[in-house]
Amino acid sequence: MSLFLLRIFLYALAAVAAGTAAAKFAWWHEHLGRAWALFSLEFLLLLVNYVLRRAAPDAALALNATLIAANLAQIAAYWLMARVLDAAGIGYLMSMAKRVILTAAALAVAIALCHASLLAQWQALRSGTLQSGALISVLADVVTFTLVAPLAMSTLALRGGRLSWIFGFLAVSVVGWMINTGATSIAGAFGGGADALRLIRTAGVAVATTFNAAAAATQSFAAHRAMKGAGADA
Amino acid sequence: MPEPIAETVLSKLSVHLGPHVAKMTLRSFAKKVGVPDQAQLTAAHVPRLIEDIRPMLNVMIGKGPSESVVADIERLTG
Repeated sequence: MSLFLLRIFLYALAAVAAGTAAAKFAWWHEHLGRAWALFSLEFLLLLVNYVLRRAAPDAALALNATLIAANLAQIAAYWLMARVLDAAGIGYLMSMAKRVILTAAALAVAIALCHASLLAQWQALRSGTLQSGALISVLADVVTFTLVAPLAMSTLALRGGRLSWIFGFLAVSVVGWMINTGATSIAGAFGGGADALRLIRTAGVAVATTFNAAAAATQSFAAHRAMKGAGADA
Repeated sequence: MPEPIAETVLSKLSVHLGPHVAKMTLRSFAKKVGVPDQAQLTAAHVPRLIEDIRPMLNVMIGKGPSESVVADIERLTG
């Protein structure tokens, strides 16, 4: 299977899995439903953007619009999931000092990973060639990578429970996006060319999409089991 | 001999939230209903306790699953 088809399959898989989870939670009516609906929208838009890049590379407006919307959906989705404990009124269970330190550390890592892209956007801004799609894409990476801290903390806090898996899978999916963003540096470090770069980017997308789909499937399964009363004697 | 109320609620919450968060949450909600030690929770406290737990579960696991968990707690503590 070509990398092109593989990537289409991965985006579609993640969009369907997230959509299924969103449907379990009445789409926009519940906190979890909103998060999964946004994840589904993100992957659907990434799929459209990816196909457009091949089929209509000159459709700048459509390419920009889908990229911007996908990135905004991604930020909102991860944000909603990262603050589930706060939204439920039990965010106080995690120490504020730990949250601040870990989030600051994650932000530092995010900036380090995105520094080349951030500098490129800064240069583009100064030379008046800034593209909104590219800028929002970089900022979305920084925000998403920073949110790995609250996701990891939720994973640890909820360990032993079904929800822990969901947050753990989502944290790993963020790592997938990190691999995708850092592909140029990774390929450079191993002396790889354009093919290696493409392969690493696809590997990053594969990690991000499959783990997001795993989180969505776990969420759907946990809801299904709870509603069936299968957890009654667990 | 029936299982103490705290144990029952804990076992239901732990399935989803894990033992650590379940314990901390129950301790906090027990205090809210005026019971400093969760081991002293009685069947009389359950309706108030559930009233507080339900919105938290609605967000954490969704409304449908939350209703199932709450119904389970009511059934086992009633």
